[in-house]
Amino acid sequence: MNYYRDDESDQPEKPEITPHQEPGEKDKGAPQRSSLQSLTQLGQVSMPVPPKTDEHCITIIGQVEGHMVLPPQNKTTKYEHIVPQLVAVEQSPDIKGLLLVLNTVGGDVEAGLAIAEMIVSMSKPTVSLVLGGGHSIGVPIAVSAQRSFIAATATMTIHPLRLTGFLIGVPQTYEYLDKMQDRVVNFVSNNSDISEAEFRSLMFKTGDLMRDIGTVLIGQEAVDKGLITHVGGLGDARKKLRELIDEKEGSQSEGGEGY
Amino acid sequence: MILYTVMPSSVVLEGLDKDREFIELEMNGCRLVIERISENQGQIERIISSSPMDYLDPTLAPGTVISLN
Repeated sequence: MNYYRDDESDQPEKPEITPHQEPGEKDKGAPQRSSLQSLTQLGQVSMPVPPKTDEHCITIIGQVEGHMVLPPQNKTTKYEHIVPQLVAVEQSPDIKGLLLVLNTVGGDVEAGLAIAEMIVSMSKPTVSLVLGGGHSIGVPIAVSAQRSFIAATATMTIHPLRLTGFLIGVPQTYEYLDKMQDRVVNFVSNNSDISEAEFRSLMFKTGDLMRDIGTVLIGQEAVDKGLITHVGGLGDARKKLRELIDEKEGSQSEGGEGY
Repeated sequence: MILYTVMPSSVVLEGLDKDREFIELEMNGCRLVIERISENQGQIERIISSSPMDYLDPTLAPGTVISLN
């Protein structure tokens, strides 16, 4: 999918670490290596060659990894990779819209909010799709898109911020944690149809979670509460993204007057 | 750094104290941080680049295993 930059870069060829190549198989090295990798990582030998499309897809999976590299048993989404990807999507003239697919257990608060704030401030159409789970800091990320979808069986856990992780140079007080929690509450209530009061009450509800306080919303419940726009899947999310892209193009060509 | 997650921190942070070797090198004209996972293999940890398009390049995606020689 490397059609955003020239393959012939104008940098001079210099000796550097190259992917492993068998002697005498200069050109076959790359596809062989990537087939084996593909087989190990994904269970498929060859990936289908993607056709050119003006929709880009970014996935948010596992833990949202922030300022600290997490131990290797974690599947992570690195915010320092996602943020420049969002910049590239915003800049590229070939990409007209972004589909964000989430299946995350949450993660670093600041990294998650950084991603969410980037998405909310993009000028191109964005649609999010929560599959499986969109827990904790996944909630702000899911609502940051212009429209959001949740699969009927997907869950979103709303719970209070706790001190797990490390704080350096800031007071580890209740007031501090409360302020941090406010960041999340404010972002979610400002970017969805749920009120601040309602979101807080979901956060502090007893009875849903076994050893904690909070609420588990499944599919339609997230829509009923005003967090997510629609229940739906990939087809619905793509259709909506297409709609938003066409709407934008239509209003642009009409000189901003729209229909 | 606050972890806001449904997973217990004992599971997430287990093995944090283990030593991991990271090296910085260049591949395909792009600066990378690689984690050494064996004698001559490394896994891409992250890209260091000011060009956003590098982050869309699938051959430079974090997690990709490359040979070091």
